Order: sequence, then structure tokens, then C-alpha cells
Amino acid sequence: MEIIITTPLLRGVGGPKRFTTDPKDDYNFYQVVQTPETKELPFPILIYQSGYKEFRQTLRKNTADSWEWFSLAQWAQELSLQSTHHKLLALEHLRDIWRRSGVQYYQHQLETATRVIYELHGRAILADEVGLGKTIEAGLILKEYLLRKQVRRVLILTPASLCRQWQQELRDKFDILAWVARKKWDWSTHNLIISSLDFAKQPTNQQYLLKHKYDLIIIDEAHKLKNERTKNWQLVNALSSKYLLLLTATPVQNNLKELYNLITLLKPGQLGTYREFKKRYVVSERQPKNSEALRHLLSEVMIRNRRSDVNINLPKRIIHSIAVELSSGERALYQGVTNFLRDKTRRLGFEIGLPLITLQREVCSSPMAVAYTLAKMHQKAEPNDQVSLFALLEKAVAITTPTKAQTCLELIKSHQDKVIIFTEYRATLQYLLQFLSQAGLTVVGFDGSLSAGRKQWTCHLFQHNAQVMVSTESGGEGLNFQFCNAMINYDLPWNPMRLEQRIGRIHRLGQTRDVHIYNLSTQGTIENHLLNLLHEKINMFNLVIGELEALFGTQEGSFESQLYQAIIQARDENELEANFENLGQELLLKRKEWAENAWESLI
Amino acid sequence: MGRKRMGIPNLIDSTLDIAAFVATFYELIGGKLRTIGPALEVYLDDNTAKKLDGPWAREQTLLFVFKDEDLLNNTGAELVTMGSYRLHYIIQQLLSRGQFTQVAISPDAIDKSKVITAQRYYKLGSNLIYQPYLAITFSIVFQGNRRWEELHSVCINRVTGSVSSFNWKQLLPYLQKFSAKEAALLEKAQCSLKHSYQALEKEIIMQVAACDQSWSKEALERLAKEQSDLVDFFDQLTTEEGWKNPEAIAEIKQSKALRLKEQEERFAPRVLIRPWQIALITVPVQITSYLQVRGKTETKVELISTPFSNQLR
Repeated sequence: MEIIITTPLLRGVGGPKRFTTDPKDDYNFYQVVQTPETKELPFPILIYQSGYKEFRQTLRKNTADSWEWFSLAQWAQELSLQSTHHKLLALEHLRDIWRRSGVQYYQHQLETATRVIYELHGRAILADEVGLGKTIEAGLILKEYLLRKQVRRVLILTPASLCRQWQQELRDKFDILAWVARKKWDWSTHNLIISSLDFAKQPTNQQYLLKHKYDLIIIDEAHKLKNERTKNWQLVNALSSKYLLLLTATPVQNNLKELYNLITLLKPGQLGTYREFKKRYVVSERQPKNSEALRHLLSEVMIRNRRSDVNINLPKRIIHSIAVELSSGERALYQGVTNFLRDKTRRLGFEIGLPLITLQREVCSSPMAVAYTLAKMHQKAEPNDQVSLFALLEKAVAITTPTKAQTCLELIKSHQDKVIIFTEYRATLQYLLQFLSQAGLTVVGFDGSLSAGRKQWTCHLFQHNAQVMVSTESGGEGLNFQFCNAMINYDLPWNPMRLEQRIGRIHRLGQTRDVHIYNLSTQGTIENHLLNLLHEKINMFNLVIGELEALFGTQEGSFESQLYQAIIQARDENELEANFENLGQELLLKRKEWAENAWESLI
Repeated sequence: MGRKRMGIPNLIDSTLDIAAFVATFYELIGGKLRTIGPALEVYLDDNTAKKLDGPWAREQTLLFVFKDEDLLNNTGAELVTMGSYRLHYIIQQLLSRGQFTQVAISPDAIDKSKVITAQRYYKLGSNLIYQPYLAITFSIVFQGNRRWEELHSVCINRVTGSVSSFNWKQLLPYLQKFSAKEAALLEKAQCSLKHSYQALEKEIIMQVAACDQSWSKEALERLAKEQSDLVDFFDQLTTEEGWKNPEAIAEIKQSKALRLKEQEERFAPRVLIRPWQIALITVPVQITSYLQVRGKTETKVELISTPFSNQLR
């Protein structure tokens, strides 16, 4: 006899809806009972208003069920009401889904969810280091509250690029149907809703959100709320919810005030007023005092799991520095751009020279990237500059196959598996797509200009069809590609935190193989100096996230501007080398300070 | 695998027995069941499948196991556990119906051992009648800093108007379909359905009011502490900020009100009551007449026996 597995079929057609909330749990359907017996009680009793009316309707329809069905329904209800003490109902409910979808969960995630529910009463900062599964923890908490019927209306605020991913993860890993808000009426028609902070901030949306309460609000990448003067912070502060989860790997980026601001959103008064906080707990921007007392207060609202604590052995990161020798044409172009930059700086000063460093970075990426900028500059330039710029442009377009692209192709061929390539520039991305396709590889491109649907589709194609994905930075935030274990940094971002974000896409929970990071650097260029600094000097690829933050700050541009200064102030190669050496020394010193006195030790 | 007899599941010892629950469900809808080692095979013919899943469904054979380790030896089997698709599906099917029934209790439910055996009591005879009851199982949600839900059943005799708790589980083996036989012996109800419904609501409210209140005290203490911390913080903030920026005071006030309200939603104790299942029950009443002789005085007494009680009248 044929055995039919009906699960997938039923899911699509006749099966029950996925987990949603029961409308009869809404308080609006209840009214407070006022009788002599209830007057003295320390709690109100609310009774369902339409009970008798609904009963009469059932009688009129004459649709009595059989006794057997009735009793089995009672059995079903008892099963669904099972309560556990200090245990997660969700875990038992998710066992089968996780088995089928291959979700691996970790002890620290269960412990975090249990603590948030039983000890922190649903308001917490989940501050695990990158890649330890904050989303799984938040999903578990959400599922648990839904099962216990403690939440009905849920709002998830996340960067726009992650809305779809949240929706998909909740559906696939937690059997929860959430809706991504796109239109203003979505707010009122869906109880479980995901939105980008930017969309939520739009006046009409904000107006709705401020008027309506949510039972649970989850905010992903909550470090975007670190500043109390921003609209992000003010919006979240004005929202009302019983439970609030803030997810961030970096609760402190630049100073302890950021931590204070986050905690004030979560539990105002936990650290006192800011004046009190400073007086009691702050020595300097990043240095706390009375650490023991502060640690205790933080532990009441924040949970931070570190890789080193949770007994998770992620596969190794194997770093390959690939030196790319420029062809004579490329070298001439780089030299030409460098001379142009130095000449402009000498004549017009640092302020004019600074933006021109971008040209150097673009040459290091690809002639196509710099050609695009040169052409734009040429149109607006003064007659004197136009000649130089045109000459450079000619040199750039004369290079048909950059050495870097050729090296990249060889790397991909030797790896014989999926590879993700990151570049900073869209022109480089476009060129690589064309070049690699012509070489017979299946390639997809991913950049910030894609619509949410296209992004989702491109990720799907990469997972199931294509061997190579070429992505700009926009692919670097939040998306997960654990199925791929090789990454080529075609050019290096000047913010090392962004580099870490890139790596975090493949080097995270769920990755089972060693991860290969290939850094391509063009010999004798600033790119080469940067890689030496990051890799050789401070061993950046093996730093923990806290150290990275301490060294580079996550404030966009802080380390980049140091790099710019180092380059622009150098009059020749020797000076450039010396400037980079000094920068390296500064970073090493910071690292030492971090190890000795880090805010990290607080939590 | 411990399968239960079809029809009347034993709620007392098997609420957690998922295998028995699934088997009972499929047996109830007309599936043909067969156990193969630890697995349960269910055959649904075309009609049954259509009844369950709609017109697109067709004849099918399902194979279930209930432990992870049994998956290995049963190719193609579906694991049924808490939270699994199948169990969710069955529970939803059941909960979407099964809210209302009409049922009779068999006279066997009356405790026959209760007879008057004392000297001077002479049995004259007995007769059986039926009385209409309304029983409601209420879902009661207790909500404070934690939340839990309980089911409580109460019933009312619609002839006498007396209200009492109702234990379904004890009566499960004696329930039967309401038939013409019972209808012929059924007494006329004196209480309207509306009145009966309201009386049961009142009863359940009184039961809740009389229950242990320590949980609510705990929740109130927590609420008081949280709110007092909040008030201290906002008062301090008003003092610090107010003198340099009077406009900030309004914002602080607004924020304070919002956060206090949130705390109340989180911790304030309350109880939500809603009828979950309703049954019209025909209950047997055995009236046994005795003649009591005391000296020269003879008095006629009646022993009124129902499945719930025995009373002398």
C-alpha cells in the first residue's frame, strides 16, 4: 500500500492556518464583572461579553456535535493548555519543525529565552556576540509568549534589508506567520507585523503606532537607538508595549551613554537619571567604575553570550592574503591617479585632496570603478584638470582585463564550490558579473538597488543554482549564507567592522566547514598597506568582536578618517609607510587598554 | 503503543498520551487503524478524507510514529509530537468544532449502593425520571506577572435551579446519545436557558472569587515595586531637567504615564472568564420511596439519587 506523506501538501491547501493569535483573547471582548463578591477582590474579573449570544446562535443552527467529538475536543484543549514551570513550551512545540528544517539550537539560546521570560519578565537587551543566534532567541521568546497567549499584537522593527529575512525565519523556523508592513493599512489588519524603522518613522505610520499598543516589540540592530536625540530613539521611547526585546551585538559602541540610552528605553530608572549614572558608574567615556554594582544592574536587563563562554566551536577562519601584481597599464593608472591627488593636495590643500583618495581606492578595486568617477569628474572639471583627467580616463578604459579579475577567476576555479565575492563598488560588481559569466561560471549579483523581492530571489538563486554571488556592502548586513564557505574580499572596506560583518555572513552558527577568506590586495598600493595593517600588524581577522569595536569604533568613518589623514599627509611612499606604522602602533596600544579595562567585563 | 478504546477517552490518565489521542481522533472520524510495531497506520477512504480535508482530498494511508528514534525504522513515517504539524492540525480540527453537544447520562452512573437499609424503613418502590441540565466548561485565564489557563465545569439543574460543580471525567463512561427513551421521561425545565446561563456565570464568578489569591498579591507587590521605582526615577528627572528646560516637564509627564500604564499591563492581576464548551445534559434521577415507621407514625420518604448526589426528601 502506498504511504502518502501529506504534510507538505496539506500545508499548501487544506491544512490549518499556521500559528496565529486567537481573537477571543482580546480584552475588548470582555467586560468587568461588578458584583458584591468581586468588590473586595484584589483583582478584577472580566467576563466574555457575547457568551450567551453565541450559545443561542449555536442552538438555532442546531449543530450539536457528537459526544465523542465533544470529549475529544476537551482532551485537545487539555493538551494545548499544558503548562510547565520554568520550562519552555516552545521547545517541545518546535522540536519537529526544527528537525525537519535542520535548525540546530544551542543551550545558551534556551537559557537566554528562559531567563528573559521567567526572570526579566519579557523586557531585555539580547546582546550576544555576532553569530550566536540572537534571532533564534528572540523567536523562541516570541513563540513561547504566543503559546502561552501572553502576547497577541507583535511589532518587529528591523533594518529594511532584514524584513523579509525575519518573515522567512519566523515562518520556517517558528511556524509563525508575520506580515511585512508596506502600506499604511497593514498596521490595522495584521497582529504580527514586521517593519523597517524608516517605514515606521513615516508620519502616518508613526501616528498609528503611537496610538496603538503592542504586547511585544522586538527591535533588531538596536544599536541604531543608541542616541536619545535621534528620531529612532524618540519613536521607540514613545511606543507602548508590555514586553520589549532589543537585539544588538554592540550595546556600547563609543561610550557608556549609549548603553544608558538603550537601558532607559527598556526600563527607565534602572540606572537612575543620566546625572546619577555618570556620578555613580562612569570614570570616562568607556571606563566604568563601581563595576560590581553596575554589573548587577545590567544583569537584570541584559544578557550577553560570548563565543568564548558558550562552548561553541565555530569552524576555523583561514585567511589567505593574495597579492595581486598590477600589470604595467594598471600600475601606470594607479601612479597617474596618485600623482594627480598629490598635486591637487599640494596646490589646493588637504580639504580638496581628501575626497580624491576615493580615486585611489577605486583604482585598487577595478579600472571600471575609477573610470566611472573620472568621467563624472571630467564633465565638471576646470580646463586644466580636464586634460589630466582625460588622460587618466584613457588609461583606465585601455585596461580590458584587470589582473585582479583574472586572479579572482583562478581562485574560484580552484575552490570548486560556492563563493561569495564582496566589492565596495557597483561598477566593479557589474564588470565581475560580465567577466565571470563569460568565463562560464553561474553568477548572481546582489546590491542595495534590488527590491526586497529581488534580494530574496537572488539569495535563493545563490543557494540553489549559482556558484558565485557578487555583492556590494548591502549584502553584508544580516543575511546568512552558511551554505557557502569561501569569501573573496575583492577590495577591502576601510571600516574593519564592515569587513567583520561580511565575514559574519558565512562564519556563523550553522557553518559546518572551515571558512576561507581570500583578501585580494594590489601590490604597492594603499590597499596593500591597509591589509598589512589589519592582518599582519593587529591580526584583525582573529580578534573578538568586542576588541574590534574597541579598536575601530563602530561609528561610521572614525577609523576611515584616520586612514585618510595618514594617506593625505604623506608626501611620498616612505612617509606613507611611516604613517601606517604609527597608526598600527596606536591600534596596538588601544588593544592593550581594552584588554586591561573594558566595559565588556561588566556583563 | 497504548491505544485507548474508541469513543470515550480516559482523560484522567492519558492527557499527555499523544499516541492515544491521535488514534482516538482517527478512529472517531472513521479511519481504519493498524499498529505496526511502534508505528500507527491510518487508512482513510475517499469519503472520510473528503470529510476531513475537503473535496480535493482522496483516499490515503498515513503512517505515524511518536518518538524520534522510531523514524529510522519506519520509512516515510511522520513524527507526531507536541507542536508537530499533525498534532496542531488535529487539535485545530477538534477545537474548531466540539463546542456544543446534547448528551444523556446513563442511569448506571447513579450509585446504587446508596439504599436505606435501616430497620423501620420499608421500600415501597422506585421510578426513574430525567431532568434537563445545562453544563458549561469555562476557560479561566489568570493573568498577573505570569499567566495560566484552567478549565472549570459547572452545571445547573433546570428543574430545581440548583447549581454545582461538574466533573466530566467521572461521568465519561456513562455518557450516551440522547434518545427518544429519555425524552419521554424528561421533566419540563423550569429555568429558561438565559437564566440558567446567567446562574452558571454567577457560580463560576463566585468560585473564582473564593479561590486562592496569593498569586494576585504577589503580582500586586511586583507591580507596586516596579511603579514606585518608575515614579522615583521620573520625579528625579523632573527635578534635574525641569529647571533648565521647563518644556521638558510635559514630555517627562507623558513618558511617565506611558511607562506606568505598561507596568500595569504587565503585572496587574486580572481574571478572564469565557465559556468554552456548553452541553445540554439529560440527567437520570432515581426516586425510591420508603415508608418510615416510628411507633405508630408512618411517614413516606423519598431517596432522590442522581449521578451527583443522594438526598432524602
